[in-house]
Amino acid sequence: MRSRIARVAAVIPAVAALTLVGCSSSGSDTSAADTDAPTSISVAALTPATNFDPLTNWTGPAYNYVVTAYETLVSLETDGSLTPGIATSWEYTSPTALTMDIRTDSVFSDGSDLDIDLVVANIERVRDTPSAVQSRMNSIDTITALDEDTIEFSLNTPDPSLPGAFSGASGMIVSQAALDDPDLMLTETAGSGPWMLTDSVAGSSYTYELNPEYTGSREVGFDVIQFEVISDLVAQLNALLAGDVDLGVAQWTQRETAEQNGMAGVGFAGNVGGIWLFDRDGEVVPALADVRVRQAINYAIDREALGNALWSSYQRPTAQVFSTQTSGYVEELDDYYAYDPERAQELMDEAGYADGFTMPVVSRATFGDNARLEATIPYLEAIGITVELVDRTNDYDDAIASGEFAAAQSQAGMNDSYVGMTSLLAENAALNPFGTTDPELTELIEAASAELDPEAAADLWQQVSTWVVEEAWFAPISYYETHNFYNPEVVTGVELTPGYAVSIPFTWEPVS
Amino acid sequence: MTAYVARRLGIAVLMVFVITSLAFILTALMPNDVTSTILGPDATPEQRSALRSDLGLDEPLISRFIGFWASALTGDLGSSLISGRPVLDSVTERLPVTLTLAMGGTLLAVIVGVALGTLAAVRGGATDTTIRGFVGVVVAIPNFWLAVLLVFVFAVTLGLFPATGWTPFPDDPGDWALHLVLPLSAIVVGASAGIVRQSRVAMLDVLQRDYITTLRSVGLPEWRIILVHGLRNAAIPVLTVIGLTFVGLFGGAVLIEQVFSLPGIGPLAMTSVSTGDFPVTLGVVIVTSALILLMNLALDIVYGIINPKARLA
Repeated sequence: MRSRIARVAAVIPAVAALTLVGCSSSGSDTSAADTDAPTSISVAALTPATNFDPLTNWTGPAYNYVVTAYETLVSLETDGSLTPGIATSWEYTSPTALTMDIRTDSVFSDGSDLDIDLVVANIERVRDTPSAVQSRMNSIDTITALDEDTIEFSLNTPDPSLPGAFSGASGMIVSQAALDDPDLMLTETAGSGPWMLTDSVAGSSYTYELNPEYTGSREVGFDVIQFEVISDLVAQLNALLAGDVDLGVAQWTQRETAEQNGMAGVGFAGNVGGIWLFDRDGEVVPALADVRVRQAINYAIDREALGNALWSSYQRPTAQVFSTQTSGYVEELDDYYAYDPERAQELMDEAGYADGFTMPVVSRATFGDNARLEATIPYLEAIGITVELVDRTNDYDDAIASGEFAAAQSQAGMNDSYVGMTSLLAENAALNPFGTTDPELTELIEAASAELDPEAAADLWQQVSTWVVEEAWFAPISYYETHNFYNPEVVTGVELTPGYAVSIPFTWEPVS
Repeated sequence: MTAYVARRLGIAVLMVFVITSLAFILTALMPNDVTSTILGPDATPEQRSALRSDLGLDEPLISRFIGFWASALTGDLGSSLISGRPVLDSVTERLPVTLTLAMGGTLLAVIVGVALGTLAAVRGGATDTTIRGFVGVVVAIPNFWLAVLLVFVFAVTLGLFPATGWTPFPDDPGDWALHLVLPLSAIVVGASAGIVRQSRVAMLDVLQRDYITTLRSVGLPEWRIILVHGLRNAAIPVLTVIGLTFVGLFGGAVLIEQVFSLPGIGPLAMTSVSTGDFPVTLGVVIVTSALILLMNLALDIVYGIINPKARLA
């Protein structure tokens, strides 16, 4: 900052006349000569913090505002594995009963202690408070403290995804004071995590410093994390190159520009995007009731070329929707529908649609959905399918739920086979608006959901994924990467955790 | 004069009511549902319905409208449906940023515009041609494009100024000023163009008046004639442009705030609209429309003072 001011002063005397008080807003300024100085990092955040309640900041760029400050029941590692957090161990004693052992030595930033009743009250709050993670608790019937450090969850349906859910916002434990008065979290954090909010400029910047009360096992690299709100990806790139921030999120084009300028990038292919073919019973577009038509759509798409055009080399073509980090992933299914326009046309002819048909597809400007669909349309036109892009950016979810559209351009990123099933395949799934069901699929799902042995469950989920691909319920293009970029002279250890678009601070280390 | 001010004030209050009421109806007609934002796509219909009931969204529009105004008239604009924060707090904490841009931009645009306009009128010839040519070019440059260019040159390439961000004045005045240089430069260039033209024409008109000839004949220094007697009378038509400039910059600050990631009213408005957080949207509308109308009211009063004929209009 001081060198910048000096340069400005040399160039613009009027600015030099101002009273310039040095205050670093950029990067780690720990000098080698002063090794006792606190290490700090400046991180670009796409969105401001609406508040500091985990239930509001459950995903996306805002997640770091809470994951820094609140301990979770279960910890999620960057390789996707689950390790102890506040819960030291957990076990499904039956398909509908989960027990967790809790460590009660956590201390909140306000000095208060954690106990079993507080944990129970926290989970009840998640279950009863309207939020995007509330639905993850729908399977919980009762929560019981068996003793001072054991909790039992009684479930109304088998749900093997709960430990995973407790590794995110659902499992973040807030203090008793915050439970009593949630308005506390409008302006401050109330957790027992490694950092705590110490200063903020609303909508602009948030400063987190080490929580002196932290008793957990996370080894933290930076003493101070400064989040700077930069709500535009190009502006984040500019800020990184200008030295205003040390880390941010990017699309692949910005990542490449950053790397060409001496910065570093990291990506993770956790999302899959493509056309979700909802109308498998042919209620709106009768042609889609024929599996051969759905298969023809899959054969008609040149995933290799399309993926490259959309995401360069930062993608891997696939025909399945189960992400690589889930137990349901089957590598052989990636090229199940290798590009074969002749075979696609044959299937259309066999199904009686040699002249094609018209299919409205709902889409949105966000998440690159419109661009993906526009790039896909020529492949479908080649086999006679006229696609009408219906842009419903403002009410995309409602448009899908209305059942007016036979298909949607969409994307999914799942950490867990069961969670993927509940949002994509279940009869009441949000992304199964026509409630399509099949006895064979239902049987497989029920068996996989209730299976306690991980290996046997994985085998069943892979059967589910195989069935869905064979029946062509979806027409995915690729697993594509989300990206972060960073200044390698300031920070190392930047990794992406499955399911999260932003790198989480636990692996960051300052460069000596 | 009192009747004139009272009449203008009444019109301003009526305008705030009409504008906000229109905004209320428009937000009610918006297709995006805030329950989707809060609950995400996987909530059950029962959870969605319960939330709609909790938020009062299942009530008739007319009763919601009456309820909104009943609260607003007591100074209670409600709370954000997303964050739970009081709307007035959310809006007023963002207002200084946008006001700094709009007022600072207007002030600088007036200084630059009047100076260049006066120079063009007084010097004439090549100076006048150059200034008019320059104005003709800059008036066509979109300020957000210029902003991106300034960032690339002065922040990314030369490293002279920060590319993004905001520091409150009390925290660090120097850093506050440093963060404002590029945003203000981006908006002043275009905003000053209209003022240059207006002040040039006004000054040319004034300098041809008989009283200026009289002042010259009694030997008054030229600088005094221009800066004191000329500018004072040329300023009247410029006032109109200043008001329009402020309103334009206040509305146009949205794009500049986006480019420089400034925590002003713009990002708050955009977020509230996209998430369906209608109390915040209405809060932004009611506060900003009141501010702009107050600005216009102040200008009307100044006109009334300067030009008594205006009081009868």
